Amino acid sequence: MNQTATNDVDVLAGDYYTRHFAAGPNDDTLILNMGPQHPSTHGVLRIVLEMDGEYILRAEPVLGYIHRMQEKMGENRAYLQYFPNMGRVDYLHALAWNWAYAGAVERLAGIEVPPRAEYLRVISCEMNRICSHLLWWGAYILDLGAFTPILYAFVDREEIMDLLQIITGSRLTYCYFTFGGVTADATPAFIDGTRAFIKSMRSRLPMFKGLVTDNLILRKRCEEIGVIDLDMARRYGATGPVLRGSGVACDTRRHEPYSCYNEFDFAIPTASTCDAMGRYLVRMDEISESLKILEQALDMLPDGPFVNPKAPRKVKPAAGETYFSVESARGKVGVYVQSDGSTTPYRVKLRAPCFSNLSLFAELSAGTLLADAVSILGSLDLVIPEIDR
Amino acid sequence: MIPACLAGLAHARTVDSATARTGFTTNLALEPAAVHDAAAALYKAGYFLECISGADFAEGFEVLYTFDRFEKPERVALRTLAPHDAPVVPTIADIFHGALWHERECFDFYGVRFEGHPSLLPLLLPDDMELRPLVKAPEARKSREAIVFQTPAPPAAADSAGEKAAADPEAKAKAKAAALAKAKAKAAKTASETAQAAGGDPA
Repeated sequence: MNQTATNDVDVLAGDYYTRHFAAGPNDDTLILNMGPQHPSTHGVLRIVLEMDGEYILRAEPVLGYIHRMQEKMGENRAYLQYFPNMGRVDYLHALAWNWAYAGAVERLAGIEVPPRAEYLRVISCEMNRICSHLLWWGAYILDLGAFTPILYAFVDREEIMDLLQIITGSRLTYCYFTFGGVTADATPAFIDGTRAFIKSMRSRLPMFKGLVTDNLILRKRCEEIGVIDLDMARRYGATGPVLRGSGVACDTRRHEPYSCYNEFDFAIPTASTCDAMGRYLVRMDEISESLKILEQALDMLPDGPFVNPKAPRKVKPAAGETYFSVESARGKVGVYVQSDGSTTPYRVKLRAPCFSNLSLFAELSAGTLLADAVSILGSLDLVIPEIDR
Repeated sequence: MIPACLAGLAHARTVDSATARTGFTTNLALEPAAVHDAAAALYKAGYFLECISGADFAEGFEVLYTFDRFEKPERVALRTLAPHDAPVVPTIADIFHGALWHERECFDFYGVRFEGHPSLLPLLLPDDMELRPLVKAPEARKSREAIVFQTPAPPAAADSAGEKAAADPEAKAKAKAAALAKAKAKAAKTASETAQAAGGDPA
């Protein structure tokens, strides 16, 4: 630690985090703040970098700019009142968080979910997953310097948001699930619209591939960049497309099957290259797989109630604990709830996949070019509100 | 169920193995000193670190580690208890590097110190914040026995859950009374010490 240098330039040395990020022994290095208002950090993420020219020697993400203490909020309101928070943890895949929380409390309180509700959950959650992947796709390409693809992505994203608006009533921070089912039934307009969307999305994917995926410039920016091996994934607890891009076919929908995912025929895309391109391809393939699930779910959609009529209005689970995990667009979402037998949770812990996925960035980016670090960040598909919670 | 890699643990207490209700295949309570070895054994056996979280009980701060495997679902929960007046737990960040952030978060929220952590700086909270937001008031703390060490309930079936809830209040009232008595005895002492611990310089 270069104590004198820190003291000499104390006024210029920046805030708490910069001061704790002491410059290395080499005089030629530069301490650089990337963010918190950097376009490629998607929200308010800050990374303190020590640079040697264009190369990153060390990187340290600084979190907490949009920390809202979601876990404390869980402890001071009734079980049902906490639902809207879930849409604000990961606003891009709100329904996965809806599901993780609903699943945890339902298991704790022994609330059963009728089959139609399970299917509606699958349909809405997979729509939301495609929507999230489309935004990631557009934004990632935007990070890499191409503006047009995000406009294409938003055409399809808009259709999904219109459809989800029919059943959920909102366009982004969905709060569609409730204990024992969902809050509204699917309408014919939603079902027909979803069928039409599956068709149109399928016809768009080859165009996306021709326009972007096969593009030489994109390949050069992604291939062999940010190689995550299995050991690194285990040490940091990486999940989701970040893990599957490293060749591990681990998807919570298959790994710990919940709801009715066992009934659908779908593949778990993986890539063995372990690089940013691998993660890219996994997400693009996942869009097709989600379309497959949607098609099957619409065909098999059972009749019946969309919410368990016996589900209590005021949930009061017996004392105990449960850990429920689902697969979001970014990885394994876990909600851990402790109940003391009262109407408010004793403790709610939110396990955010991005938190673990970003934690490996410091190790992954060491020695890379700054421009490649932007590509790595984009390939992790970060949602900062989920990391900060 | 205790996986083979953890078989040699001294003082481990199996909490319950009702996977259907808790989501944990293995649920073990350990002494803080045993956590590091257990994590090392899990790393060697191919587990990944899923999460580290804390909880505030009448008996102390509980740190809960969850691990899982990529190839099959086998969630292992390790839990350890640190006293309110000196909450110190050894770090596992030298084995699972993901713990670097999880432990910092736990330090933020509860003030639990992770011995051996290379940079226990605030992660999510402001660097000058003295409040530990998830530390409960002494009178609000419940007994760990009444929440964590529950006998497994049969999964699902709304009726049986209703019965259980109806049968529960007695047991709960007892546990609550015990917790309250304990908490009251500690109240003055803990309050001052929590404030002290929270005010400590993280570096």
